[in-house]
Amino acid sequence: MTFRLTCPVCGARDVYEFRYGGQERGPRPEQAQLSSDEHFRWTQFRMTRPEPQEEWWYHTGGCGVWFTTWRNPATNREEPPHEVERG
Amino acid sequence: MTTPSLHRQSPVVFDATPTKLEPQDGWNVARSYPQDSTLDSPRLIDLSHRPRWDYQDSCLDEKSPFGLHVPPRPGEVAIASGLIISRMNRTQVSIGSIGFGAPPDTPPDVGYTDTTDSHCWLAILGKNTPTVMECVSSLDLFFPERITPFLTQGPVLHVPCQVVTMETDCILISFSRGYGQTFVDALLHSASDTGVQVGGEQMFTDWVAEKYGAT
Repeated sequence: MTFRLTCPVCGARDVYEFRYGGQERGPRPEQAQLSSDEHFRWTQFRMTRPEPQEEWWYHTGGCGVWFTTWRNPATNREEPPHEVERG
Repeated sequence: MTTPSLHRQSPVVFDATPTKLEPQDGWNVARSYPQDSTLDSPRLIDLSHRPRWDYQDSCLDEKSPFGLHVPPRPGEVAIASGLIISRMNRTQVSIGSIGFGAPPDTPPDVGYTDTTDSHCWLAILGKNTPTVMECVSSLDLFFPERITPFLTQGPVLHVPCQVVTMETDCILISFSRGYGQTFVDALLHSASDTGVQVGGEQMFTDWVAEKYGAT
């Protein structure tokens, strides 16, 4: 299995040049009044759906830059985020 | 009592006997090998003794390390005053001495890091250079729409490298020093069908003088 990712410095490269850094999970929640359950969910809980998700990647075999990109785990293609359907 | 002279060891040792070996700043530099009289096959040349620096600044576009113009975009390379300057990313450039004469001293600015002793620096020279590189990397190092010289950062023999494509007949490769000997052994073996041989530094300096003048 292989696919390509687009490094903001080097351009499109084989995924084997990169190290996965996990899903982007937003800013760290305020520590004050943070319950242990909320803390656990922010630090540990991940959900992968078959739709584009924002992820961190590190170009370990190239320029050494951390960056985020949107990748669809169902297709392993970089895709922009789906527009939220409005009812 | 005499002070011991500084001794610096290249990260690579070639399995060949140089015909001209000269001391330079504590390094023993192989200027030539017996087969250097003709450039009939690609040559692998050790440049690890040549001074190199990294320069880093958050406002890099406003700086002039060593008085050089900083290339505006990552991957761009400029050559001036015997120095080659490669833009790595938004905040960093790498600088190396490819010219003749004494290299400049490291300025006191905190943005400079002397990387001479931490890197292995090699040149591959000759008309079959692209064939040699195809044996050891899947990087597109000769994309015709890029203007030479240009920088590519990526794996060669699975080692993270900075590769500067000078021309189709000259490539500069730098990487962490610890990979040096294994890297050279693997390259010479992998590309043996191309006839690649080791070469002396004089071949590289002659090439630079022909392309860029006696910088």
